[in-house]
Amino acid sequence: MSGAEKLFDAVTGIRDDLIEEAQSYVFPRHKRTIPYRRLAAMAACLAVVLGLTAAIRSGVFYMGSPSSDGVDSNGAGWTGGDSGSNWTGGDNENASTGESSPPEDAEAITFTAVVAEVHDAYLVVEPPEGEKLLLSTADRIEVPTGDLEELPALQVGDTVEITCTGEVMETYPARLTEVLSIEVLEPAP
Amino acid sequence: MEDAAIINLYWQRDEQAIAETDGKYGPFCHRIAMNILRSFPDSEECVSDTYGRAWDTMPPQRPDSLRAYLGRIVRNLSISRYRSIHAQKRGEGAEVLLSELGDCVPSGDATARTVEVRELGELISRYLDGLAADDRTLFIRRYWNGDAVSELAGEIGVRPNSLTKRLLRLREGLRRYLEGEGVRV
Repeated sequence: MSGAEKLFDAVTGIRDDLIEEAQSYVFPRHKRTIPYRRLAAMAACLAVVLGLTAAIRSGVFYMGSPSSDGVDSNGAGWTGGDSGSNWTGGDNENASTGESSPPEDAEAITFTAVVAEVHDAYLVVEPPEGEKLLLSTADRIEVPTGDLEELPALQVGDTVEITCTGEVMETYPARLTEVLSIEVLEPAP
Repeated sequence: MEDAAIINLYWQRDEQAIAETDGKYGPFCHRIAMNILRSFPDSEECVSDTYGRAWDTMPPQRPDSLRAYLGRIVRNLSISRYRSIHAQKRGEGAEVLLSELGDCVPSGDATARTVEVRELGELISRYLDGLAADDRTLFIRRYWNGDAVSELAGEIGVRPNSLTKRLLRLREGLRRYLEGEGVRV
């Protein structure tokens, strides 16, 4: 029998009172020290994530911060200042004061809507019955028509197909930045 | 049921003693057996044999601590079972414990006296008497109960590595104590 085996057997003979004490003993719990470095790193990561989330939600990454004279750092103008509107969309590389211009590589988007209001320089459209506007979460969109070369005669209730650059100002109602064309799909009943 | 009442059942040859023992100390005995054998069927058998041994030895025995008494029986039976199957099946439980206890073997010189297991047990008890309650309990829970290091670490609230070092210090302490007593194992 090896020394270890003899000891292993001998352990069996430890006194009863010591065995009994060990079975019911409750260890005082050691408070684990908090690794402050790790905690600080986690807090820093959380701050970065929260900051990025806030920036994305406020559209900072799309247009940057607007300056006090209505011209943002990219030279693009914006409207709807009283309503605290924000751009959604890409950067404007060819912007001039008071106007916006679409990015050179902006994709055109086409959607269907129903004319709810007709004004001199714009329309207000709503999603077709039972549908939502794919372009925006808004239930009404202002469609500027002043710059269109060809504008069909429109009346309330017409179902139209609108082609635009996809940039939507988050005012209420939401407002398209640039409309490329409007086509009547179905006249009002 | 109190231990004294259970022991009285054994003395009265009332078979209810076994049921009461199993109810109160069954999990405790199973745990010790499993910690050594790491096999449920073998552990079951050892625990069953423990009850038989308790029935055979009470009377005339009337232990002060029924738990320690049963624990000692099941531990001995489990160690014997482990040794008998050791060639075929290398169990993890007892092997690790044996390996650790190897640290405690004193490097006895020519003048050291060889002691028997019983006296060695008494020497270990005296060594444990000199330890703080935490350390004493750790040693017993690890080497008598066979509880896993990870489990003990969780109970205390320390990392397993930290506990491993602490157990090593305890084992080295035992070795120095035995060497100081002039003992050869």
